[in-house]
Formats: sequence, C-alpha cells, structure tokens
Amino acid sequence: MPDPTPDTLLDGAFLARLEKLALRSRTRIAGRRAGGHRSLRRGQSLEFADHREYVPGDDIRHLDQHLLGRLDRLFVKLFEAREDRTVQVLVDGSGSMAGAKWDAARKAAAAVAYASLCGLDRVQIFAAGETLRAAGRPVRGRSAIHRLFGFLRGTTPEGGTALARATASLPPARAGAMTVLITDGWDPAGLEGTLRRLRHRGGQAHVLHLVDGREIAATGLSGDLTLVDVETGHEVAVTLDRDARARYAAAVDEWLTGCSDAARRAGVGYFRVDVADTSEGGLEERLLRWLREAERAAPGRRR
Amino acid sequence: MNFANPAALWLLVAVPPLLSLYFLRVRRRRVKVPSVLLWATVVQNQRTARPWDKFRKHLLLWLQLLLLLLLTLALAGPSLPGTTRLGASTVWILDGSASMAAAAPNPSRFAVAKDFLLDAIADLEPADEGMIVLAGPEPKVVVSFSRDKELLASAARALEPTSAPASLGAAVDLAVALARTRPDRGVVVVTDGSDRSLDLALGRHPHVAVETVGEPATNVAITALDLRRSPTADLESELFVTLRRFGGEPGPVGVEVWKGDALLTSETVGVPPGSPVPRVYRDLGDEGGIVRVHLETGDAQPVDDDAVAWLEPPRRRKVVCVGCTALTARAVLSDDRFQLEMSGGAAPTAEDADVVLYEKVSVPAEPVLPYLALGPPIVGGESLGEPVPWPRITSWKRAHPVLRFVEPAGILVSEARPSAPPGWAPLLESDAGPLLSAGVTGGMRGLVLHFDPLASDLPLRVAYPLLVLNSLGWLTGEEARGQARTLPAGAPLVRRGWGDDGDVVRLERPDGTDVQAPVRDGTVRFGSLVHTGVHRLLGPEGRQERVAVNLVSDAESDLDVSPATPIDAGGRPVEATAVVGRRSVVRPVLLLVALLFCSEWWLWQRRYRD
Repeated sequence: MPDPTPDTLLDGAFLARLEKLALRSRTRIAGRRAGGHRSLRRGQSLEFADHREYVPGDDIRHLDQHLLGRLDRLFVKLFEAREDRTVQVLVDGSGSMAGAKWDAARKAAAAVAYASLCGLDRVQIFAAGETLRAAGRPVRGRSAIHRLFGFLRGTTPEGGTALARATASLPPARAGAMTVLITDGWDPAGLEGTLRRLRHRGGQAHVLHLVDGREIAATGLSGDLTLVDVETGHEVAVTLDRDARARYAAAVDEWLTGCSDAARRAGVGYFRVDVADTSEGGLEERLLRWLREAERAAPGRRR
Repeated sequence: MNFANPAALWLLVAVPPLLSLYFLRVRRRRVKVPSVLLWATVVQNQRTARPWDKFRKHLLLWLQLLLLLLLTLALAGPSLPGTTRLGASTVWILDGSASMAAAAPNPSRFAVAKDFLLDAIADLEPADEGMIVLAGPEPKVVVSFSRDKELLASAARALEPTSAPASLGAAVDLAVALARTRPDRGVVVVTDGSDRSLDLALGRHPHVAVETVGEPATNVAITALDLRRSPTADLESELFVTLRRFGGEPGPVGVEVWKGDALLTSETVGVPPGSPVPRVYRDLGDEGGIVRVHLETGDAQPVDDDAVAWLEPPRRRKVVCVGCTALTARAVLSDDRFQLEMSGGAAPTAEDADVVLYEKVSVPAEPVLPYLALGPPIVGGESLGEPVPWPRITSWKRAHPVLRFVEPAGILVSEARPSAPPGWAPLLESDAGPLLSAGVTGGMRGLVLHFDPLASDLPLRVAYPLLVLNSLGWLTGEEARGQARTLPAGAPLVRRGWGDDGDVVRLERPDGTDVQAPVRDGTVRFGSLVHTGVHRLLGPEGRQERVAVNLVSDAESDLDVSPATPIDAGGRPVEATAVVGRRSVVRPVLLLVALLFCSEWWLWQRRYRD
C-alpha cells in the first residue's frame, strides 16, 4: 500500500477499502497476460473448465487419460485461463472541470486506478481536453500507482471539451477491457456519441458523471449577468430572475435525465456524484458505492 | 398647472444622460461558468416566451425616469387650479363689507372666507409668504408679507367684518402695488361679489384671482333713513325711512320706531321685492335722543335691520335785529325756529342772541355773533365801495344752502355796493361784482347782501323770506340739522369750523372706543366710519355734535352672490387670466415619489434576489 502522504490523492484508509474491493471484483476478462481475472479463453490455469474432442494440433499434454481409457476416445481437457485486464481511465480535463469537480475527478481516477492495480489489472490514465494526454503506457502493480498519482497531480483542467474525439483517440482495447469516463458532461457535442463510442470499443464502459450542485442551482448568481463559458469564451447575457431560474432548473433536470438516458441506451454504466454534497460520508463513500455497482454490473462476475 | 419654482424644470435635462448611462454603462456582471449550454437555452426561452419581456427588461429604467420626472416636478413646486395658493408671495384680500356678515351660509360668509384663508395659510410652503388685507371702506393691511404661518393664522382668526361697504377695487390696487416687487406673486380676493368696483379692478389686473363665497339669500333692509324738519312745524322733525326687499316673495315686515328705550310706534308694512317702500314717522317728541328703527325680519343679514338717527332737541334761535324793517322782521317771524328781538341800540352780546341781523347798518369791526347784513355800507371796518347802479345778476351758487329754493334770476337791483371784503366768497354775482357774499370777520361767520332790499324788487318776491331764513339757518347751523348728522357707513366725517389749527377733535364711537383727529386748515377729518350707530364728536370748548351712521346700502343688503366679471374703464368685459386659486401638489408628488422608490426597490430585490 502506498504511503499516505499529504500530496497523495487518497488517504490510507480509503486505499485499504479499495484493496478489499479489488479482491471481490475479479471477473473473467479477455487479457494478454495472466492476471487476476478469469479469462473468457481457456488457458493454463489449474482450474478445469471443460472437455472437447481432440483435433490434430492440440497439445497432447492436455489429453484426458481417464476418458481415453474409459471411453477410448480422445478428449482434451480445457482449463480456465487467468488473464490480466486493461483498465483505461479517461478523465475529462477540460476547463469546465476546474475546482471541486477536478479534485473529485482526480480522486475518482486514482481510486479506479488503485483498485485495478490491486486486481492485477493494467491501468492507463488519460486526460481528455482538446487533446488527449496519456499518463504513459499501461502500468501494472501497485508500485505504479505513484506514477499515476503524479500524472493526475500534474494535470490541470484547461481548454475545451472534445470527449468524442478523445474517445476515438484511445488506444484500442481488447474485449474485456474496461473504460471509465470521468466527466462533468459539459460537452457541446453531447455525451451520447461519446458513450456510444465507449460501448463500441468493447468491454465494459462506465461513466462517472460529476456535477456540482452549486452550479446546477446557480448559487451565487443574480441580477443582470454576462455568463462567460470558461472553455469556449462564449457569452450569454441573462437576467437572472425567478422565471429564469425556474427555466434553468428545468433545463438542468432535462439535461441530467438526458445524460442518464443516453448512458442507458448506450449500455454504459452511469453513476452521478454531486461533488458539493457532503452527506452520506462524502465523496469517498460515494466513489466506493460506484465501484461496487460497477463490479456488480460487470459480465462474468464471480458469484 | 403652475410652478412656484419653474427653474427646477431644468433638471429634466438629466433625462438624456440617464438614458445614456442606462444603455451605455456596463451593467451586466461578468461571471465565468463551466458552460453556457443550458443558459443559452434559458435565454432563448426568455426571448420567445413573452413579448412584453422586452419592456419588462427596462421596467426599472422607466421607473427611474418617472422618479426623475416626479422629483423635478416636486422641486418645481407645482400647483393645481381650484384651490388656495397662487404663488410664492400671496396677498389675500378679504372682503370685510357688511354683506360678508350675512349668515348665508351659516355662521357667516366671513367665517367661510376665514376658513378659506386659514386653509390657504396652512398650505403655504416654508419658503412662501403671505399678506392679509382686509377690504373695508378703506383697505387695511392686517399682516404684511410674512412666512410666519402662526402669525398669519392668528391674524386671520381675529378678523371681523365691518358694518360698511368695502372698496375692493382700492384693496386690489393696494395689494398689487405692495406685491409688485415679488417675482412670484399672486393676489386672491375672497368676496361675495357685493362690490362691483372689483370688476373694474379686475379689468386693470386680470391676473388677480377671485374666490367667491356665500350663498344667495333673501333680505329685507332699511336702505335709507333721514331726519328732516317738518314742513308743517318748524320745530318738529320727521323720520324718513325706506324699506326694501331683496329677493323672495312679498310679505309683511314689522317696523318699530324707538326713541331711547321708548317705543314710539310699530306697524306692519307690506314690502314687495324689488321696489323701495318709503315710510314717514312723525311725532318724535320734543326731547332729543337716539331714534332707532328696527325691522322684525329674522333674515340672514341683521346689520341692515336697524338704523338710527340723532334727534336734536328743538330750540328756537334768538335773532337780534339791528335796523330791521318790518318787512324783514316779518320774514324772520314767519319761521318758528327763530325768535326775533329788536335791538334798542346797544351792541348785542353772545349771551343775548344766536345771530345778529343788520339792515342798512354797518357791521362792527369785531362782531361777537354770526351776522346777516342787508345793504351795509361797511363790514368789519371795510367799506363795500361806492354804489353801482343797476347791477345785473349774472351767476350764483345754486347749491349753497343760503340759496336753497331761491331763484335770483330776474331780480332787479337799482343800486348796490358790489365790493366784498378780502377772502369772502361770492354767492351771488353781478356784472359789477358780488351781490351776496359769505365770509368770516373777527372769527364770526357773516353773510352780506350788497344792496338794500328796498332798492330792489327782491322783497316783492317769495325768494326774500327764503333767502333771509336760509341765511339765518346757515349762520346758526340749523340748516344742517337732520342731514349731515346722518351718514352712510363707510363715509368720511368732515367738519369745518371746529376750532383752530392744532386743536384736537375726538370722535366717540358707538362701542365706546374713540379716535382723535387734529384740525387742519380749519377742517377736521375722520376717515371712513365703519361702525353703525350714533357717534359723538367732541371739539374744543365743549362743543359737541352727534352723527348717526347707518349701513343704508342697496349693494350690501342685496345678498345675491354674483361672480366677479372683469371690465375695463369703458365697461367692456375683460378676459380674466387668473384662476380661482391654486393648491400646491408638492406633497402628493413627493408621496408618489416615495411609493415609486419603494416599488423600484421591491422590483430590484425581486429581480436580483429570487
């Protein structure tokens, strides 16, 4: 377990809980290396999976001698393969993520990364702004977490949002890979296309939607305002009276509903976290809940 | 609408800068937000949802503009027609005539006028000033221009109407003259319209406003009263009274005649509206005193229901005749007022007689009594000159009491001495000089006929006894009895021969107060007498005279209320430019400003806090 230092994104207690979560979340995946996850392919592990008739070319070491003696037919034994899994964490690094949302995004990315490393997965973190920035090649082992933390700490949100393009730029993932998108959803192109791309990449896809309740409620805004988009610089003149607030609240509700519906339609796991909400144990508790839900939703989950 | 301070309207030039500031200034606070995606939708909805939102967007601006306009209006001191205030300097003229005392409406027209005045004073702005003029027979400045509202109000409350007609024209002229130096001035006349001199004054000053008070009412009044010598009995007097009904239906009126506390007579007289009803009352008694006529009417104007006269006790005047002919003596004896005594040669003294009649005898240089000299050669030591044959009468003073009912034309005079002493006034003139002159010798009034009556045909004419008796009456003061001693209210009292210059004559009013006036040029003058009743004039050496003052005015007794109609000197109507007062609306405007300010604050809070 990495030392919980002040510049560490996650404290020691939280890291411990993540480790426990990792033990329970091993599922069958399709990987390149033997890992902690059961592979969809038959492999070299000790766990018997099935038989099939011998075909020329099969490794004769896998011939089941007992069946040959009993049935006088050639069957080879199939074993479950233990393969690693690639977890790609795509963090929305656009300017709209600045502030509490960015802190939460970094913590969430770190949590996913740590839990995955503990699960013997390979982890790769990307920051998606106007360009896609990667934390380097996929890493394995807990010791690599510091590298990922360093990347997250060294990244600041800036620039516009181009999640669809960033998603398209992600390295191809094998079946069984997991892609996690952490974003605030403020994408001029909308989230639906991005989510569909995530789903089409194969494997699992999850989106962690970070919202700031203060933004949604337009807290601190009143009167005649010129609202400036921090990403695009676009300006909107608005008189924030009671009617405008009501219309804005309705638009927010519609938008949030649209985001969750889009995720459902795309078959992407969707979890929304209000970073301004300090109830229910705070952000870390909600991140753990999200990770558990993601584990439950994963195909081939061990029962 | 008028403005007390029109210069404040220049504040309206602030409107364009306000508009510029509103539209040009950076009003919107710039706030960075993560995304404007949803806000753009809100704004789009805001633009398309309600068409009036464009106006609503500038509602605060309109309110601010309205606020500025109202503030400017308030500073300009607006006033509306129909009320009491005219300008920053206002002169209120209250009609103090007798008709204002009429109880139409109750309690009196004057009370209504005072209420109007008190309201006007209460409406004065702190910077405003007011002046009160009471219009009686002579205008009186009760309070000069003052900003002390309490002073003005207390003076207004103390005002009372007079019992005399008012000269509103003079009051208006005075008020306009006093206020002419004020830049923002106004003159308001509060009247019942009884004085038509106001019409002419309004023609001269069309900017003067008139507030008409009072309600029309019927009235029965004594419009004339006179005490005259009886034509049948020289020592008796007759009381002439004229009654008149103003408006209403014909009806009986009870008339009582009192002398002192004694009721002499009473009767019921039918008085139709419009035409005067003369009444004559005789048998007033041998003793002097106050004769009072009282009408039992119970109408709205009590002042004209009573009238008084002073009845002098009858007294025969002693005439000492020096050198009189029988013809002259018979003429004197024909009048019971005179008692004739022929002189035995000794010079008459003041104790012996009231007047001396010289006929063809020189008048002494220092006469001790008033005298009538018929054809004297010398008067007061001055010769009347050489006889002139056949002087022809050319002119005479018809109005002089001595020549009352005397027709001098055609009198033939064979010889006369037509040379009057210096300073004497000719009453009858010929082509050669005066034939009858009046003057003063040694302090005594004298009359001189410049020819011997027997040297003319005058004794053959009826004019002779009339001339003699008129002369004796004038010399003894009898001719004035019952005439000059009854004055209409508001008339001045002028007396000649009441002492020397520097002497003081005192006038006691009916209410017991008195006033003094000095004798100047042999004449004493008292201003308008506004108290009805019997006045007593007290001169040097115990001389006294009583003068009765009565309202006797058709204009004041006519309680019809007619609005003023400005006319010019030719009697043509003049268009009035004044309104009937104005009321300051600064307070309502300021109240509106406060309400608007609260509304704007509330709107602002609602807009920015919700």
